[in-house]
Amino acid sequence: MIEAKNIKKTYKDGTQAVKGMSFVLDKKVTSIIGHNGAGKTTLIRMLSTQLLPTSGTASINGHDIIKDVMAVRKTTVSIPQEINPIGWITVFDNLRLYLHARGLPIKESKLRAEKAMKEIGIWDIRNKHAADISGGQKRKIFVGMAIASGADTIFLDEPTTGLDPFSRIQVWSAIRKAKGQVVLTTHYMEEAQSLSDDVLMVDKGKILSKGSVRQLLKPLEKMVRVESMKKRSNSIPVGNTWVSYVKREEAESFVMEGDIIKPITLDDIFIKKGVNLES
Amino acid sequence: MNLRYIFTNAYYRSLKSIRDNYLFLISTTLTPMTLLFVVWILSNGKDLPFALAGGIIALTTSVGIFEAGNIAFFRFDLRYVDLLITTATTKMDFLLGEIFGALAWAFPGFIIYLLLDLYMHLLNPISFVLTLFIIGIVLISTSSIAFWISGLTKTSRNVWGLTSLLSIFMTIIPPTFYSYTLLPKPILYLLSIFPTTPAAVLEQGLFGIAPMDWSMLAILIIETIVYLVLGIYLIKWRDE
Ligand SMILES: Nc1ncnc2c1ncn2[C@@H]1O[C@H](COP(=O)(O)OP(=O)(O)O)[C@@H](O)[C@H]1O
Ligand SMILES: [Mg+2]
Repeated sequence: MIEAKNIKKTYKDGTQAVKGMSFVLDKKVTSIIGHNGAGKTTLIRMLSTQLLPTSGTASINGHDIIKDVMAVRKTTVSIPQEINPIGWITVFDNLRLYLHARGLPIKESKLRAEKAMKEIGIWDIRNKHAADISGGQKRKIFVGMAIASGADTIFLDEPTTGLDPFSRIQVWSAIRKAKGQVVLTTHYMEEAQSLSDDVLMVDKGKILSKGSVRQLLKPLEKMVRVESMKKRSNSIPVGNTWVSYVKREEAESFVMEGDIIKPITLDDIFIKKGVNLES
Repeated sequence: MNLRYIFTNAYYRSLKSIRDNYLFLISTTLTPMTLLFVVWILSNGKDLPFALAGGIIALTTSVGIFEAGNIAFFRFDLRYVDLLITTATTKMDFLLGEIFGALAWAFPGFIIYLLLDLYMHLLNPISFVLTLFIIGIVLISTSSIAFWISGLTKTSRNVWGLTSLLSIFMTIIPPTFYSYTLLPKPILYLLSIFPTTPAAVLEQGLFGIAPMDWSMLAILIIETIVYLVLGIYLIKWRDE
């Protein structure tokens, strides 16, 4: 369980990246969603003891991230957004080194690394130097580390960015099977929607909403999204289109006018709240 | 202390990476050799023992100082320090992993120096053991300084200039290639803030080419402890 109490971060240059967030995360998989610069990375880095909060605090399974750092670190994995593997050693060795850093014995590290590489689809490239593999494959090494760790709490900052659709499915099913609680950030709404138990929506350093996908989508239940080239009453500008929400049974008439109808996603919750995710 | 991590890291950072970076190995080995050659030519071979005594210390120093570049690379380019923080790897484990990794880069140079020393009858069993001890201490103190430097900048590019500069200051200006007795006492003590200086003075004493000054051993050990504590204390671990 992760509990944040009015956690804040103001960077040295005055940027208020996280403006005071309080929440409890206790579901198996939580997705943090929000557009670029919303504060997702800053929040995750604070929770996983990589970055000191300006004020407020949080606890992970009862261990305070400031006072009880070592206890948090021993039971937590955190994969940074921009992490790179060590290029001159193999994929396999990258995993093993990490598991040694976590204090796992040599034999155990080897077995766990092998299992994770098979699960996540990097078994065939295990003996390649990490410098010689694709960006998506590099990402997978780190997801592999996280699931092989057996840690109680796992933070993944954009684990699937840059992955092809098939790899994303592999990564997600591995994440679902991980032993501990998982908190991740993602850009892909459909992913967050189909795979997380809980969603934390953030914008400009603040929490917009939190809840299960079903709860969050409730206000737009039985509705559809209409994308139109011309402005209508109640429509919201998104890029160069106008978006409005209508009951499903009313959608027909819009189709006749050449508008595009789309099912409701979490994107629409952002739009409804006045956050333009696509801008 | 996580010995498994320390030694795996050292192994991956040294032996495993030498094939990809053998030019660095050659350059760290050859730089003091070049100076050795210059000293040999300029002094008609007379000052060669001084250059041999100091060269091994200069080599150790440059390998230790260049650790700053490695650490900065791991921090800024790979973002690996963030990953390590959340594994309960301590700063001390990290530092020791780096020091043992660095040692391997200096190894070929050590062998050449020690063979030359033996050939010139400059070493006996006792001074040999003491030399290894001094090398170890210098590696710890210079790596600790490197640790500290690596946290001072915002990108790894800035670190390269800084380490090159420090490496020059710490390997050429101290009495690594000339007799320490040539230096006025105040300047000798001033230069002693670089661990290279007391180490070189001790080596000259051990080689029997200048009077032994045991006070330098105390200076070396005390400042190594200070640098180590400062290095561990000052390295950026959790960001602020
Ligand atoms: N080290 C830093 N110094 C100053 N500002 C930063 C720093 N890191 C991030 N920011 C700013 O903080 C805000 C939140 O960034 P971030 O947490 O990375 O967002 P996200 O991960 O949601 O894209 C952005 O406006 C970003 O520019
Ligand atoms: Mg981010």
